[in-house]
Amino acid sequence: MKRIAAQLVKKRVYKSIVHFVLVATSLLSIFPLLWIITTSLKTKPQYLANKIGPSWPITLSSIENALSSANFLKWILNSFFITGAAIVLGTVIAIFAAFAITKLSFRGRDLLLDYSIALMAIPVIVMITPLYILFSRLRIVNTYFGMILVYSGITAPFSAYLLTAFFKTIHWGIIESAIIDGCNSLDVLIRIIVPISGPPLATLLIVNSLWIWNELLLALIFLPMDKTHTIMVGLTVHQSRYSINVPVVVAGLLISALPMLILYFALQKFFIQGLVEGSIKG
Amino acid sequence: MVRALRTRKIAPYLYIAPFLIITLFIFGYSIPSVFLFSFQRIQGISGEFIGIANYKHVLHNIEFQAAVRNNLQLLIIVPVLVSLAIIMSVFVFEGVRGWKIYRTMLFVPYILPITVVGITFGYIFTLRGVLNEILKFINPEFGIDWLGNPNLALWTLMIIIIWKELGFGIMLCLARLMSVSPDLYDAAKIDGAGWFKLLIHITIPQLATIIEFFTIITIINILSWIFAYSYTVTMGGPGNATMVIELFIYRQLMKWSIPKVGAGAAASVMLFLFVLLLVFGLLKSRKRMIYEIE
Repeated sequence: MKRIAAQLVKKRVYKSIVHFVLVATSLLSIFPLLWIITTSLKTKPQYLANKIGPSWPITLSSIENALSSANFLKWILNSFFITGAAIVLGTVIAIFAAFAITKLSFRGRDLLLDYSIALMAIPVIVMITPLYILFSRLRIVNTYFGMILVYSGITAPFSAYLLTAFFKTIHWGIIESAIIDGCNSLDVLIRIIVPISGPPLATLLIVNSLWIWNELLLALIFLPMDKTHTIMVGLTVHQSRYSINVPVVVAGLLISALPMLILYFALQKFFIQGLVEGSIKG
Repeated sequence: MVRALRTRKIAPYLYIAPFLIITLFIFGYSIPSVFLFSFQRIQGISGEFIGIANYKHVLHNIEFQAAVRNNLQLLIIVPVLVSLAIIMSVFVFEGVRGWKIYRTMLFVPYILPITVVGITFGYIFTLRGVLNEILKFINPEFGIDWLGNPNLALWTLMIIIIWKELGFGIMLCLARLMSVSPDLYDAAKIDGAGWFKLLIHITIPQLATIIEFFTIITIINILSWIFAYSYTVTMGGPGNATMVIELFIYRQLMKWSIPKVGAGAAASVMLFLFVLLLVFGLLKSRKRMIYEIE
């Protein structure tokens, strides 16, 4: 009897420790985000008086300020546009390539796959010097076109690889029946394969748009003009110039993180799964 | 032995053409060129070959030396990050009430853009910033310059990177733990294994391939994917206290009116070759992991 009681106490203590550790770490994990939210709702004097916690009354003035400052809205739009275009372009290219690798036969098929895998390993930093020179000579630095090209090209190998892995699992039977019904290769791709590719396409969407939206290095280099900045570049450059009004800058930070945060909280499971699997496969 | 659709002979090549064109344009030009440039002095369009002069110049450069030192020091993150990931994943795996909520919160740092994280922690760690304000409750005299003190700045950066990257490691380990058969644990518990023994003899061996994978990925990240941290938090400063190789390469390209292409290329090549070695290790590790999952 005593032993059982002792064991129960032990278990309780153990569970309490687990809870404690989890709560502590979770708080540390989300504190900066909470701080960003509470700071965005302050005025500058409110912030100077209380930098840590929430202030009362909350105000939307800093957020309004951020939205109307300089080219802020333009930057957000730029990011949306560039991310969207690069995702579409990169994914379409990857779908075609993956389809060919898995369902068609041609010389150098295996080579192409190995080539694609090799490209995924290259860190972006290594390519900025030659790419900048190339783009300068072609006069496409500081163009949306150039930026989209870069992002599409860089995400294409990973997308192609993920789709290849998925397409390989598609049973030939479905394709066979489509051929019997008179489909050509393009029909098979568009009518059969793409519609059932929801999961990998969702993964690609999440992983790639997160990466492109958050990306800083390439955006700094290829879109250096104020009007064409992506939101991340705009925030970084803006911050060093106007670091005096903290709540406004932080409001900008909040707004810029919002799209991804909303996506995350809405699709949690997909997100975590996708990012984890995406990087294992990548 | 793979079935293939019958098509016009040219069809497959049309399908792969866009992919080839864009990747050859972006990658196919870059990699050979960066090697080429590293042996040249570029002036405008033309470039004369100057052998390994760029490499010598870069290796003697104080900024570069500081950058390499810093990147190496930052590698301390690896064991810390891996250990914390294992420990935290074990705690989450316990499955206490509300564990999914904890999991959601622990992953938030990974979702935030590095730029946002960098600027935010800039405000938190600054001399009159949030952290010092909090610490003032304990000791009113407190005033550590976490980012302005050259001796502390890199350590502070380390903390920021760990904070952000931990969530990913936890999810990796957690995913692996969830696929472990509970029978293993049950059998051990019947044999009287305590919490610690379970950890050492079952959990960690099961996580072995994940640990290997995560370690190599983290090393690669610290060497070649932390530009945004250094740029947004301290811009490499104070002095060269938080200079990293990526930032060095960036500065060679962007901070001079005429880009120092040769130097940037030389540094890029050196970094690239080193990372390549690690990537080979990673591929081997990944093969082991995928084998294990299947």
